[in-house]
Amino acid sequence: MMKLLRIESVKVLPYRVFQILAILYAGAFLLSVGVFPLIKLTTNLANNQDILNLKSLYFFPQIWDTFSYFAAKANIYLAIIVIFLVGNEYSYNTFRQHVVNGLSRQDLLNGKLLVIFGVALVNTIMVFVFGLIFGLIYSSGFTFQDVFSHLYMLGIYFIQAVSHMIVAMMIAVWLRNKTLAIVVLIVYQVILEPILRLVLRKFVWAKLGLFFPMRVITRLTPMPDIAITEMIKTNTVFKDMAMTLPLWANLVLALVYSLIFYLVTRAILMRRNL
Amino acid sequence: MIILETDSLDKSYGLVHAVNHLSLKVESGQVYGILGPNGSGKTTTLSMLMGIIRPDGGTYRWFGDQRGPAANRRIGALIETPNFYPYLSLEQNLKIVCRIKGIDEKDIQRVIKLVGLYERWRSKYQTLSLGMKQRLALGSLLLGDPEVLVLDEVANGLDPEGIAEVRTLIRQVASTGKTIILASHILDEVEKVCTHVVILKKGVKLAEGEVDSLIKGKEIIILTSEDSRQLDLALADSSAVESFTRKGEDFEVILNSGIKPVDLSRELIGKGIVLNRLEVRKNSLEDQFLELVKQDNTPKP
Repeated sequence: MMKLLRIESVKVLPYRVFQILAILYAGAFLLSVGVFPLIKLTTNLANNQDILNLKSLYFFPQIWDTFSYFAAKANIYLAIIVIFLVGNEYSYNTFRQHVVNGLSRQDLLNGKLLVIFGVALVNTIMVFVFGLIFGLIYSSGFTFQDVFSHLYMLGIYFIQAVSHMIVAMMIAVWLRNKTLAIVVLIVYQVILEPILRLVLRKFVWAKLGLFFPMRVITRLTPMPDIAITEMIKTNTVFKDMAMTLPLWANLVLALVYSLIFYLVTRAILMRRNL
Repeated sequence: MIILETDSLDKSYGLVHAVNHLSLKVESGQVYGILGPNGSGKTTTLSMLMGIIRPDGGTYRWFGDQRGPAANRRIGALIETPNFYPYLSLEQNLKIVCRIKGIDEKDIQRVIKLVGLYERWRSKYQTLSLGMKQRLALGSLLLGDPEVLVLDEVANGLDPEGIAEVRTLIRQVASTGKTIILASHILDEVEKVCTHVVILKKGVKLAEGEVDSLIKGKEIIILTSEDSRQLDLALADSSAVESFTRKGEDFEVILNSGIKPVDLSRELIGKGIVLNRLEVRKNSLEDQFLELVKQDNTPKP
């Protein structure tokens, strides 16, 4: 495993696209968690605590819910990173060369899984560090227990990031083409599946849409309880959209989907000529 | 020692029978050429042997009993084109190869000097010319000094000087007793560097054997004389002649092994026959091969 990690690190770390997407991801995350303090600093709109409810957003332990939720919103960047890294192996014929040089096909897959777990781990640590900083700045009168009681939410975030990247890996291995894979992922996640879910909700069963893979994977970390989300949840139009399965059910489904997508990727990689 | 043995390897792409029940045997120390025109199944064969294409049927074994990753790590192989990461430097690219094969990374310096790319080793791969890319690929397969080299159309994209360098390199490596398997559509290349050869056409094995015997065994001598009738009788009578055919004024003669053209000439002079032409056609391998290529290139109606 160390061997695969050492091989992947040479390929991934100096890769410009990886570096740029990683910065974009961190930027998107910081912007989304930093926007409320920023509004508060620059306008007096934020004096209306009912809308922005900063206290609950950045207080321990609530902050872990907030931060993992916003970090997960930017997971599409991670998925695109994975598509680039896997797509490159096909466009540069390097998967083929690796096998010629003496890696097994399982090694190819394990290498990419290591990258996925590594990226998810680094991001989880990033969320943890910024959570700690923001929490220490904005919280007051918290106990040691408060700081760590919702920390499991970072674990949920980790699983969410991993499963999103596994979907991306499967699409990239299946299509062997970066551009096509990115288009297919985005079209499926943002257009195709939502439409399908809507249709099924209307004509089959109201809750069926909740079991779809991208719905499960993108909603793993629950929406934090801030004033705005309360508005969404009580609004009749948005109510349906905010509806989710219980956290444990989503978690189990996400793990099952990840396993299935991993096995599909493996089957394609093992059988096809490189 | 047997390095490679294949038994009835078979692969089709739809209606195209790319490799047709091919059985080969390569022994230690041979420089084994796989010769055939484009589309004769050379690359497909090598791809199957290196595990990147799944055969439809048949088996192969490296080093007596191995196949797969462990065997591949003992082989330096270049299939079709050099495959590297364009955004990485030469050094970084070779590092990846070292890490896959479990080779000490100090060896990078040695091979990069060997293929004359030392000044460029921190350049990105994408900045190299085609010939340099090919040289880097050669360097990468020499990493760790493998027991066996597998080369597919290695002269592609090289200038004449580069081709000469590559051949020298192959001969150098071969002289250290290593086994080399070399696929090529260029007869000259196979003739100059190989000890053994198999000729493929449309995936079928046409001929196989030592390069020398394939050439010498079918050496043809063309004779003409003022007195064709006398010559005809003398040839029929001679113990030096294995067989001959008459084509107009020309006699195409195949000599018994060990007999040189000069011996026949002396014998004929002794019988009072004066030749006005004696031509030795050595490249019967080329004839065979050109025949293949010709048939292959005839436009289909």
